[in-house]
This record gives sequence, C-alpha cells and structure tokens, in this order.
Amino acid sequence: MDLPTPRAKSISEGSAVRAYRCTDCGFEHLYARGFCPRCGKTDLQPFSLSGEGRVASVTVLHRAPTPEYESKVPYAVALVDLDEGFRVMGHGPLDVVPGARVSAVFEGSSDAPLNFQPLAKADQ
Amino acid sequence: MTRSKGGTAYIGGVGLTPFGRLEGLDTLDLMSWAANECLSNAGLIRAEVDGLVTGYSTTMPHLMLATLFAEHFGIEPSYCNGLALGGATGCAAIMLGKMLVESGQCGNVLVVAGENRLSSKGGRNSAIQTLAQVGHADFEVPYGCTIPGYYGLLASEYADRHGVREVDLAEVAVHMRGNAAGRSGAHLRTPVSIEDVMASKPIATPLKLLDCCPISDGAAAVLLTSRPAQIRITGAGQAHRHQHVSSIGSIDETGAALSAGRALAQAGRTVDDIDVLGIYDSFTITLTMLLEEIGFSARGRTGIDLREGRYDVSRGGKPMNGHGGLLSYGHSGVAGGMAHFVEVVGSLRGDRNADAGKSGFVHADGGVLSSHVSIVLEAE
Repeated sequence: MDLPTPRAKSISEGSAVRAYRCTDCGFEHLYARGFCPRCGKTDLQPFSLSGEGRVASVTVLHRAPTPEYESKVPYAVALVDLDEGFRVMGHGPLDVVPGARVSAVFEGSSDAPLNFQPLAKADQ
Repeated sequence: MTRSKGGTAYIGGVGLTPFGRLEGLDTLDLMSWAANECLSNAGLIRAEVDGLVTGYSTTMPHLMLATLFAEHFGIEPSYCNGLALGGATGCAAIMLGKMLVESGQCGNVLVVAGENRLSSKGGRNSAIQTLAQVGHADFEVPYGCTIPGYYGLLASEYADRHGVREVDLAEVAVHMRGNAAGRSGAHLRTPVSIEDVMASKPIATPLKLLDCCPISDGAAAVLLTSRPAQIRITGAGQAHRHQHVSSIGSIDETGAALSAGRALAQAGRTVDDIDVLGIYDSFTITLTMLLEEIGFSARGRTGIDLREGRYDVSRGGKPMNGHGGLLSYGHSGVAGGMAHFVEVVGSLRGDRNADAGKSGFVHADGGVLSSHVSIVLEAE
C-alpha cells in the first residue's frame, strides 16, 4: 500500500490562497488533509482563490504569546471570510474593522503568514 | 471491590482548594489536597474508591497522570483514565464517572484535577504560551495569536452581530467579582466597577485585563457513587463541532446548545426548570455567548440581564457561579472548570441558602468554544 502524501502546511501556493475540491463528491475545503473530510477519497483538485474577502472579526493583541512576538505588539489578527466561502486567519492593519473588504498581499515567500490589506474603494 | 449493580449516579462528596498563588505545591500535592477533602466530605476511605478519572496538568505533563496519581494518593482502582478536552475536561470526567457508576462498572469514582499553573517555573508566561497552542499549528499559531486573542475574535464578531458592547461584557466581570467577594478561597476578591473594567489595560481587543480570568494554582475533586445521596446527576451531554476558531461554522451554533439540549433531554428538563447555574466563564465573552446560545439569556441580553438582576440572588435572581467563576475564583486548568460543579452541588445542598432550588445545570467549554459538556443535577 502507498504511503499517504504529506499534507501541505502552507495556506498558499505562489501568490494565491489555495483550496481543494474533491473530484469524487465535489466538496471543497481549505486546510489540506490529503483526503476529502466529507467522503474520505484522496483524489483532490487544488484551485486558487481570489484572496479577497470581508473581515469577520479582528483583535489587536497587546500581550504576546512568545518572546518572539513581544517586540511586535500591538498587532492585529483578523478572521477573513474569503469570497469563495472559506474563513482564514491573517494579519492586517491595526485600524481594520469587521465588515471591511480586504485582499491578501503576498510579499516574498509563499510560506509567509497571510497579510490582508483593505481594498481601495474603486476595487470593491 | 466487587462490581455494583449500577443505576443512578449520586454525588458522594466534593472538594475544592483555595485558588490563587499556592507556593511550593505541585500537581500531585494539589490533587491530593482536593481528593482528601472530597473523601472526607463523602465519608469514604481510600479502599472504597474503585474508579479514578483525572484530567491533564500543563505543569506536570505525564503519559499516565491517572495512574501516577493513584499510586501517589494510595488507591488501586479497577478503572482509571486521564482525559484531555481543555476547559471541558473536568465536566467530561464527571460525565465519565456518571457513566461508570450507572453501568455498574464502578461503585465509587473519584474525579480529581489540579495544577500549579501560576507558581510553577515559567508561571504565567509559560501558561500563556502553552495555551496558545490550542490554535491551529499551521494556520493560527504562527500569527502570534493567544487564547485571549481567539476569544477576542469571537467577541469582535459577536459584538458586530448582536450589538454586545464592551460595557455589557464588563457587567459579567463586575458580577463575578461581586460573587467572589465573600469567598475566602477566591483568587480575586477586591470589588471592581464597570469603570475599573473599562479602564483596565487592553489584552486582545475588545478584551481587557478584567475581561480575562486570572491564571491560578488550585485543585478540585468530585466523588460519584452508586450509594444514594442528596444530589444525583440526571443528565449529561456533549458536543464537538470544531476545534479551531477559524473553523467555527457559526458563532451562534458552536455546540453549546446541542450539548445542553442533550443533557436536558436526558434529565427531562428545560432551561426554564433550572434553579442554579454553573457556566464556564474564562472570559466575559465566554459566559455571554454560552448563556445566550443555551438560552438562559436572549441574544445580546446578558449584560442587560445582569444589570436587571436576573442572576443576582439578593434581587431574586437565579444563582450563577456563586463562587466567582473562573473570572474571580480563578482558573487552574481542569480544576477551574470543576469549581463550577462543586459550587452548584453546594448550592443544591443548601450550603448557601436553604431555598436555593432543586435543579442545577453546569456547562463547560474547552478550546475556543470547541468542546462542550453539560450536566444536569437534581436534589432530593
């Protein structure tokens, strides 16, 4: 029997957030598992998301979990409902509020945590 | 011990240590303290305990904490288990104790938990770092989020959806501190005002320091028995719909109502029948969302209900977290979630007020409203 393929630990591929569609049952999911969490089949089609969405919630952290993060306070962490229907965590500006339209900005490594910036009015 | 015939699970006894800074005592010392109190309260000797259920300890990670404790405490149970469901662990352990007694597998099940989360090496900083790992290892923890951060996100969305203001959350903190004022064992007893809560330093907006429970040392124990006693467990239920905050399907259907509904249905009760409440309150938003999803308060109404005395015994309201809850009695991990249960048992026994009522309800959540456990109790 073949060993399962290790699952992807990055949320993005290149400059796009990536999700997976089960070619058997059609169920779409975001966090990679290497199988469909609905039907269990392993034939999955990766697809790219727009990276755009609406801020569902935001918190500004003034107390860091680790020394590594202490120098960064205050920083904002948001949950964003992407237009394709998935919810993801990301960093964002301190003044972002629920309801704001945002887009994922990719700088450097595709393994970097997601960073969201407000969409200019004209883009919305 | 021989197998008992099973049937109903009664509360044989309870034990609760003071919470706060209990310098020099480790997990085993604290668990033993609560367990000794519990056996004394139950009028049992060690040889009569044939079941043991523990939680976990972040300050004493161990492959077999239950067995470790059994040896240390001096018991040889015929059933032993250590559970891990975050803050819901204590109630889950009590539910398991109930099932063991009801099935006849055990006659006397000791449920015990405790840890020195505050005074251990690393203390508060270490606890905050450890607890943050309840987030998704790849898609949440790398963002530097914390447990207050995950709940801050819930508070942000819940405020946006239901109009809950920061002053409404502050009512929860003020109320819990008021409850703790008369309890010598409570970690935080100095009264606070709405203004104090609003002026406390931001931790993870909109949550401020006084919206968050303290990190405490402490332990709690409960003995479930087949021997008839004044209080019995008539219902228990659970629900597990997600683990990570980013995977919650709907913040209005986290599983709290499902869990409570299962427990109440088993007991043949509704929320309106409940006289005494013990509801998990790691943050002010936690208690708010649990009360409102389960249906004790309407959506967006918890702060108003608190202001109007709905949970104020002195104004004819239903007692809730009379010990001060996690927010003021304190939070020592698994034992923190058991303290509500001990408090409700005490209330139903009439320790505080002879007319406290006959029906109690206890609810705990683990993670980020991830694991839910509900228990219904009845007094003779």
